[in-house]
Amino acid sequence: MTRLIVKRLLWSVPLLLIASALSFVLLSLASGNPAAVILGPTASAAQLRQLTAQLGLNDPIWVQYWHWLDAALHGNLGTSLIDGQPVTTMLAPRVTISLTLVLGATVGASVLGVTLGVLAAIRGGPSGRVLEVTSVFGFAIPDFVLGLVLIEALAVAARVFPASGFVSFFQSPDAWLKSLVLPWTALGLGVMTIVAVQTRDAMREALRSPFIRVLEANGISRRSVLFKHALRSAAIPLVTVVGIVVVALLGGSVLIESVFALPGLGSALATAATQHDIPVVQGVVLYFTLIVVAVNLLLDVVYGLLNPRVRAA
Amino acid sequence: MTTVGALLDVRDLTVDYPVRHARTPYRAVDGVSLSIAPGETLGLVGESGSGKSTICLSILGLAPVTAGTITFAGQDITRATRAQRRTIGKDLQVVFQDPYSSLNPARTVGQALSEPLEVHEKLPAAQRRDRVAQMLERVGLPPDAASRYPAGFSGGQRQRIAIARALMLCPRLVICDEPVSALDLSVQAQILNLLADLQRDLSVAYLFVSHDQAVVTYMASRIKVLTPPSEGPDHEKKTDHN
Amino acid sequence: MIRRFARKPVGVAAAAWLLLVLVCAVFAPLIAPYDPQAQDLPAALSGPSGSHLLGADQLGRDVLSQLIYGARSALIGVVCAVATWLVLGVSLGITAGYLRGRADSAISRTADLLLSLPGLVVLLVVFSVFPGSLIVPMLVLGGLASAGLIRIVRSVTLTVREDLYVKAAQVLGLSQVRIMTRHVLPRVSSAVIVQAGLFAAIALVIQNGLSFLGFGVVLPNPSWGGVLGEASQVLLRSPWLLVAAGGVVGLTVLAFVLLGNATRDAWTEAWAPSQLSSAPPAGRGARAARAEGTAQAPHADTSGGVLTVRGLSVEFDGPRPVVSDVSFSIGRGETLVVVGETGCGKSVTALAVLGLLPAGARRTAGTVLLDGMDLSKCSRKELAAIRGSRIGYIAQDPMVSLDPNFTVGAQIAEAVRRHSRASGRTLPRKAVRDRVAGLLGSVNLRDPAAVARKYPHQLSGGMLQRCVIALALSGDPDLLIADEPTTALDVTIQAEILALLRRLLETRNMAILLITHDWEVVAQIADRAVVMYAGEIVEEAAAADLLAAPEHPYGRALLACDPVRALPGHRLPVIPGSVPVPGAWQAGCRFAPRCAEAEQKCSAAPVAFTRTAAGHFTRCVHAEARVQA
Repeated sequence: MTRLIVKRLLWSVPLLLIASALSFVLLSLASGNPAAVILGPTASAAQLRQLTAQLGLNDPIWVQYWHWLDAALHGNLGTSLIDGQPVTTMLAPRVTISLTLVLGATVGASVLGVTLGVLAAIRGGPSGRVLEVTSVFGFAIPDFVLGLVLIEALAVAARVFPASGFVSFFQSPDAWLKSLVLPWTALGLGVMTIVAVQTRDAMREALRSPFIRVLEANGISRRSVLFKHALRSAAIPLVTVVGIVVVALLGGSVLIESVFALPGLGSALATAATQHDIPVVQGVVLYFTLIVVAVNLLLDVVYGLLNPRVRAA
Repeated sequence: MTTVGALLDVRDLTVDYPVRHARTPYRAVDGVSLSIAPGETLGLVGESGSGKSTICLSILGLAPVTAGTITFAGQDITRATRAQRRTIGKDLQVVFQDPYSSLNPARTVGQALSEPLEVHEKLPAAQRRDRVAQMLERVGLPPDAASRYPAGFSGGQRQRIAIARALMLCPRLVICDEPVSALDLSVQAQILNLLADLQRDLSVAYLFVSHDQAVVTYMASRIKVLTPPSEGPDHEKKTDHN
Repeated sequence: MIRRFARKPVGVAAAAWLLLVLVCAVFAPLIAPYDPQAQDLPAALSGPSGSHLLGADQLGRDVLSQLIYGARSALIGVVCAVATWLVLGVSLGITAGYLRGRADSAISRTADLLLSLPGLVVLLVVFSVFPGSLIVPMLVLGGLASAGLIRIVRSVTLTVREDLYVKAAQVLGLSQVRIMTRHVLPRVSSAVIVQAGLFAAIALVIQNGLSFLGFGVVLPNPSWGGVLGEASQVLLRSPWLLVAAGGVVGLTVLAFVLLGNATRDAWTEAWAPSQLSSAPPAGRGARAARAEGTAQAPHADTSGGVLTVRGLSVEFDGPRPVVSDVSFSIGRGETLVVVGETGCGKSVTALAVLGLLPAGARRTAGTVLLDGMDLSKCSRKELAAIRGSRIGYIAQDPMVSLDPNFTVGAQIAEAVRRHSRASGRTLPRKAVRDRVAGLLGSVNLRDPAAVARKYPHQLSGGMLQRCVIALALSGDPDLLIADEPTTALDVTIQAEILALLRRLLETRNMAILLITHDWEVVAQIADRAVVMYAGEIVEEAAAADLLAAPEHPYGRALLACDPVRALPGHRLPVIPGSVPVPGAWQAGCRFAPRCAEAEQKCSAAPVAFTRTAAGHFTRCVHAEARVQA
């Protein structure tokens, strides 16, 4: 078990390196000289040359990357090309917001999805069909459309929830929650239906195992068979599903944060990408990859705890 | 030194499987020797763990050989290359135990049976169809079976198809790895008769592997009893008939 | 396959819609009523009208035209993404799964890496680099997402490559590539087709999202994402816009998914037998059967014997009868073996006694009396209480008979606790542990405490089966039902397990109902035996009598074709033909079509039992004639 964790941790190092290197290289190929962006259109050729050299933009690309990496390991992610703020100062406060959004939506979608899926598996027949149909719809409606619709319906028209903005928990728990309900729903609804279908399939598969019949035939109650044994077997593949959900929702958060004007990593990325603000984009990619690594590690541990073959090894 | 005139000659075959995180590998077969003459049936009996399936796999090139030699039709095939296996495939075939897993469910029976013809004889389609029809009749299946998928057949019928596939090219030796162990008693008798008939008509030799002493005694002219490598040496005995 | 597909209305509808979208994309300039960028300000945000069939947007641009032209970028993007995804995913997945070794390591690690990158983020990065382009980001999306397909294809390949037909192909000398394309690829295809439908939908949704953010195809160039974004923002002022745009996108997404499902179904129906609808096992069958009974109290007077089955009949959906008019009884200290070949209905009989028939099966007639108590009149709760405490059950394959997620001891302990609770006591933990150890000891396991701590996968087949027997004994049952308990075990272990069962029978004064296809088992453990053929009992006798001189032609023919009695070198006597499938039974004797002694009167009417000797019954007209003579 500890072996697994160590292996995972070791594996995340190249992951981080490759992700950051990839984005660095791609961004550096972007048309437009960052120096020109900083100085604006009125800069002279000499000023441009000077700043370009100063920013180290004349060095070969791997040298530039090395400098960035070196600085990053010391906690310095550069400064924004647009407003000169240090990237870390810009992005650090946004991490909590993105995490709250993504993890909150994941937990909500998973809990509700699993419940629905288990119910559909137990009742069988038509409820399963209904679930399949709703899941395709959950799929078909893009989350940003859902977000915009929710805003129009429940924020603008009905004024139940705020249309945008984020309120810190410490300022007002009530307002904090209210500001997150719509984003959570928009982000998580589609995923919830998919989790429900996966759960239903996993439960059905688990219920087909021969040991279910043996246990029930020897007196174990139906309830225990369903929730203690079948659900436990079904949980193992579901852990993988949750992992995929988190990665998908991280991507979706970019859209949702933009729609709901939440100051998280996603909206920062969206803005920075349009503005070619390379250091900020680099920074967000790094943070996102760190989050994915952490979540995957956690899920691997959970998987190992659930699966006795891995645990005993 | 090989047995003169033997079709298959196995000498001191040893097969080790590496075990994860362990220094000593698992010895599945320990110094086994056997030989089969053309047209005869050698029975191979033993408990599970005695290595009889591994011996079959090694002869067929599906399991690694740690030590010893395997000679087939005078050729050393112990570590044959893929190209060599291809040539041998014409004369050395196999029938497996599980009638459900030994046929590709996504291909029709006709396609499965004509595959050996495509690979080795490169006959035109019409001739292949005829050969397939002939073989189907020989193993007691209706001619329309060629256009159906394996899912539509019972276990016994699928085993007939597997036997047909093995014998399409009139091989000289067929390894039968527990061919009737998964079948009901009445079906087993039919398949055993079929195997005996085909041997009589095509002069094919069998290496007949089974855990069922009675079946092997009935089918084989010579029997080799295997004991698991950890126990004592194995022994050979003759049965009363030819 | 096209024909099978044509029979699926949903699939056809989906294909038709997508075809329409394709036509729009290709012939946009010819079909669209307006230039998509032409503004008609007076008509801004108007709903459907004569001049604008689907209304107009904020700047008066015709929505229908925008959607028609937008189909172009939509389809191009999806095709680029799906094509990359498919080519990379399938080829790399099969290679990794089939060749294993270094190729597998390299491909799998790369796939894991790609899956950890949040796709949308990478896409935004790509868009920063190639701002106006649509194709490059979609190719990158396909590449990133292919990691998921690689994983799926690889895992299917890993299973398929162990199948014997792959080994047979290798023996034949087929090249690696040939094997991968001909034998592995078709098996992989069904999963891939469904995933392709899903991925096409995802690619479209992502593309729209990016459009909305201002990447890829942006306004004023027509795109579905752009219209959707605008529509969502003016929802209250002009809800129609969202309906039109959302409808088109939604239908296309749905169409992709449904097309994928329908194609997969059409593809696999031919060669994969359709699964029975899986609803949860148990429950329904018992409930339906109970409805037939009267409101009598379940405790009738005892007719001797632990288990008495009278006239039991079971049918599957169809309706297909699988068991007809089965009757037998077992006394204390007695072992009754039901012997028959595949498809004779013996396992179903055992499940019917337990009240655990699978979905789609139901008892249609007959009674099951346990020590006089009528099980068919028991409620579900009562039956659940009886199971384990009065009847124990062991199944065929011990390796899958226990939950792999719990230790053996934990599962037996759960049963022990349940049974003691049912009888009103709650045992303290130590008492439960002791009882578990005691049970494991009674099945001859040498170190019960150590075994109890192990997981099923850590024990051998023989040891596991003993554990299952211990579980079955935890409620101190009067009857033990064993369904082919030794079939999956070695011959020597078989003998040990049967000896164990015999000993338990004596020491606990139970009855045993054992199902098997193996006559050796009859010889080793049976007191009495019952032979089943095509859903009915054809002979019943004391084991010794049955083995020595069976009366029924089926039993006689079966014994004759056993190679043990055969003369080597001579043909084995066989029973011509094969067992009739359930439902294809004829009116009279079901064995008559294959019987060497069959006559006219055999098939004329159902044959009743004839008592040929003390305790020996046969369902055969010839036996009848012999007795009367």
